Amino acid sequence: MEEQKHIGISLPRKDGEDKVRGKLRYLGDRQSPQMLHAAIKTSPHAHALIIKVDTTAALEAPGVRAVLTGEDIPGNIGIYLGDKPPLARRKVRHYGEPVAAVVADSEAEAKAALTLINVEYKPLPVVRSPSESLVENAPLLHEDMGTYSHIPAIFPEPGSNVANRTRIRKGDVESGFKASETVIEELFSFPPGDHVAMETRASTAEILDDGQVIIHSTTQAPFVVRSLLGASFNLPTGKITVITAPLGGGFGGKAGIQLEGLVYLLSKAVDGRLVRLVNSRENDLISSPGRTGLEAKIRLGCSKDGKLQAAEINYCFDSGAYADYAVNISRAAAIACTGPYAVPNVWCDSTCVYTNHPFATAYRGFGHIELTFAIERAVDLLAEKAGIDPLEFRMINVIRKGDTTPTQSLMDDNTGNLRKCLDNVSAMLEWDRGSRQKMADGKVRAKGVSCFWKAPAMPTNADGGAILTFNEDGTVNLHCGAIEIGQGLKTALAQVLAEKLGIHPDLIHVIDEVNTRSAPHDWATAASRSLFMIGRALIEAADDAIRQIKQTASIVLRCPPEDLQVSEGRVFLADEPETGLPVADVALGYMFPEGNAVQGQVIGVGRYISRRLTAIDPESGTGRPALEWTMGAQGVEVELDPSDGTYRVLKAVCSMDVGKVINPFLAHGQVVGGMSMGLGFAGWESFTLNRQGRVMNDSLRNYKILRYGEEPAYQVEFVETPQRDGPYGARGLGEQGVLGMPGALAGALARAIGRPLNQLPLTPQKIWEAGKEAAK
Amino acid sequence: MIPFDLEYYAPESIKEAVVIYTELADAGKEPLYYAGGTEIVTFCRQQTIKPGALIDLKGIAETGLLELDGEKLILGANITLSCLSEQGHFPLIADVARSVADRTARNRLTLGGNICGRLPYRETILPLLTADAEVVLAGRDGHRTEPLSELFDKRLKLEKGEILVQLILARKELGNKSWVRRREKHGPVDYPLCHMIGVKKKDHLAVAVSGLCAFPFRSDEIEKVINDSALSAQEKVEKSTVLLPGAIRSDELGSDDYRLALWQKDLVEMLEYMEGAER
Repeated sequence: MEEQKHIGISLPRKDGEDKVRGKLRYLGDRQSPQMLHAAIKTSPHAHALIIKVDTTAALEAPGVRAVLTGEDIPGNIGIYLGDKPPLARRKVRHYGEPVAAVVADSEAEAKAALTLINVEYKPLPVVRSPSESLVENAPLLHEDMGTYSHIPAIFPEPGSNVANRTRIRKGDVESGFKASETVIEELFSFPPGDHVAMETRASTAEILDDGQVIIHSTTQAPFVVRSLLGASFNLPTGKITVITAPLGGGFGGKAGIQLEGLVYLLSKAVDGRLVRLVNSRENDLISSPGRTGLEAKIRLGCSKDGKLQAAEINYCFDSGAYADYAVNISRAAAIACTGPYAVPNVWCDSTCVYTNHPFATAYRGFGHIELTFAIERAVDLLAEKAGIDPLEFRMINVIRKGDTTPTQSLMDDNTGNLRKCLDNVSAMLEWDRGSRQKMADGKVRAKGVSCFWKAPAMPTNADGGAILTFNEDGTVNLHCGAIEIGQGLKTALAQVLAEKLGIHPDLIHVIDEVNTRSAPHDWATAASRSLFMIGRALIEAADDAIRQIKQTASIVLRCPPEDLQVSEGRVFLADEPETGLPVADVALGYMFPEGNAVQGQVIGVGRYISRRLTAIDPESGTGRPALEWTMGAQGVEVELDPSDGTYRVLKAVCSMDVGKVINPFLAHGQVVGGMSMGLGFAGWESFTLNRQGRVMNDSLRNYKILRYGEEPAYQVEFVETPQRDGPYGARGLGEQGVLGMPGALAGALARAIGRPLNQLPLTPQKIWEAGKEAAK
Repeated sequence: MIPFDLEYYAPESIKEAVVIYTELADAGKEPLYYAGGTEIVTFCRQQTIKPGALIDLKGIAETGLLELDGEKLILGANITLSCLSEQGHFPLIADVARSVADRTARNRLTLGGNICGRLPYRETILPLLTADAEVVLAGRDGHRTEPLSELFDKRLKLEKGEILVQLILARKELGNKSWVRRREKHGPVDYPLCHMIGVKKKDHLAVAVSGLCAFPFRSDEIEKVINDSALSAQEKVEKSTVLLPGAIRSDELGSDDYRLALWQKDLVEMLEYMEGAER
């Protein structure tokens, strides 16, 4: 097998210099003189009737062109379930919900006018958690649920606060529990939180006189925005253009429809003029969506030899005031509900539930970081009760080729080697030297491990495409619909193409901006599937370009095209390499000396659509929704001071089976970034809410994320069991780094303090309180 | 952004500053004195305050002094916390200053702002209280110098329009043996759950605390107890707890139980440290 020249190389990322030097212009940086500016007024209440909105003073303020309230906007927007008015209508359902919007000549004038809008509220009882939401006679957040439009795969329950319920019924759990020597049943939970991407969300809208709508947006999914705008406002999608420049972080938070609908309506209110709305940090944290909270109940049983027999799982996702992506998050969690273990009997109900919290959208891991925390805690508790080492317990139960998932789809040849990953984690943590140790100074060192898996949660027809064009100098333009959100995708794709064409990645120009009018269609830059799907499309496009290059060259060189090879910028006879032409001479057609020109420009086209995916059965969950699973293991070592609960994370390790590492440096960075985010999720980051449902930490003064200096030493080892249908054997890895961290951290700290820790975030106070319980 | 216009003045002397303040206040313009501005900028952005004018004090030379002048250390109110954390005359206040916020914020945060602002922690007051500092204020009637202990009760008692100019400490207070511990919810860059300092003065152990109650304090009654050699460490802690000058805070940073447990643990450790220092 030939040595790969451009795959498996740590090519410096193409966008690195501009970003580090502050040269990259983000959407929020772009302003033009004719632009109008918008600002939003938000609710101070978590649940209240809107009695009156008085906009008269605001309308008269300097520079103000329009003021809109919920009453001006009939209808709802929603990704899967049409439940959200762009501006609150009749009532507000979360702290920070937009209730009015101002358009003015300048951002300052728009913001100043907000204080002139008077809103009268009548507070309503606040629903503060999923369990409160499900109690009989709980206040209904969406009384009109029965009238909402929704996609067929979602099952809202009108008359309740349940926006979706997904069922998994595999095997027979009761007989599974009967066959179990050891059973545990436990509750796990955590509150909602946020993505805290460095770049806040922004959007502009303009409506031309011929009806064309032009949207610029910090979206991870410009084609989703296009189709949802079309559906929500009855516009032909052919008349909508969505343009996206590189983003300053997405993490799923920019994956759906965000500000675009509102900004479109604001532009409409000012006769189609260009209107710009950029979130302040506070708006971005609270008014725009964050991530779900969770309440889980898990009953798990194993036989005497530690083999899992049955799992009875209830996941209750706290979606906040609106469902957005969360109805699919709860569904995705059902599909993967057991974690990467072979469990023959599974009963799962996974619900998406409304509360009066700021609402949630997609977040890195998409239901899997949530379920993995709960399952990994449950597995630890079961292993402990069964008297089996927690790492050994996982080793016994890892899912392998031939086993079935909760949806009863068969794990095939492409299944990652989870046992190898666990072995690597064990070695990196030095697990065999003990998982708990009391130090001389009274502190306790302890280790925790976890396993994780994730497949992309996407529609069965999710797709991608790639178009290649050439320049006079023989360099290539790579055009695809994926967004650079900081994950280094464009660099990795350039490497894949470089390998196919046999040229250096520096000779490949990846088009940064995605314009839905000209870019090939792409489902969304989410779910860790872009490298896989666009990589496949790219390989097809490269093959197409090569065929065209050979076709033209065969005319000039007077030989069969199949005798030719393309590499190093030349097209030449494979067995007579000195006979050939520069690719540059044929890429835009070939011109003979006397002037005749033949064939024309090379345009390489490729596409990829998900293979053989199915919906899942509404009663049993049976089906094949997963394109490919990326799985792995993680672990942490902590040092805890039991007297006050304070701790340091000394080490965080991860081993993941990614099929093929395209760019080791970038892959390592993605995983470590995910691990850092997962640790933050587990120990530091969440909304704190008061009894009235108001978010107390609605700014970065008080919403804490991990800083340099607080990070542990990270170690990552990749395993490469090829994904046969992936580009060069690669499978997705963008999200997976976050998944196992909460479970591993909670496991390590629980081991250290000697008490279960089943709630996040893992603050020193919480651990200290658990320690006091132990002392009693 | 701050979405409204305001007037900005940059006086070069205290007298000028006070005159401008009086004029603006009388004209109903709601002026605010402005130093680092971290609180002002935050509240103006949120439009929870809307001052008509800001009077920038940073150009006034006497508020920027940091010098050891014979037997006195002069700390100007507009010294930044970064500056304070780097000076070597008074290591204890350097330690305290260094623990507030993060470096970027400390480049703007000032000693005077930390003491006089709206946030209730005012941590830099702690080493000033234990050092029996003097405070120099200036207002309509000119400058006055008073003992800090007489003018500080939960906050600094300033007359309207009065400016905090300097803090003055006696040289003999600068090198005392000291102990510091700052507790946070989770991670160093945060408001304090409890920030305590202990200072071994000539024959007396002084202690001051911020974050535990709703205001920072130094308490004579508590010091009487911890300096009572007839009591055991445990008794000192128990009696001190009863003498706390206010209710223990309970909020989203931490519960009152947790704060109390941390404070008591730290008090024991501080007493042990100071006892060891004596030997």
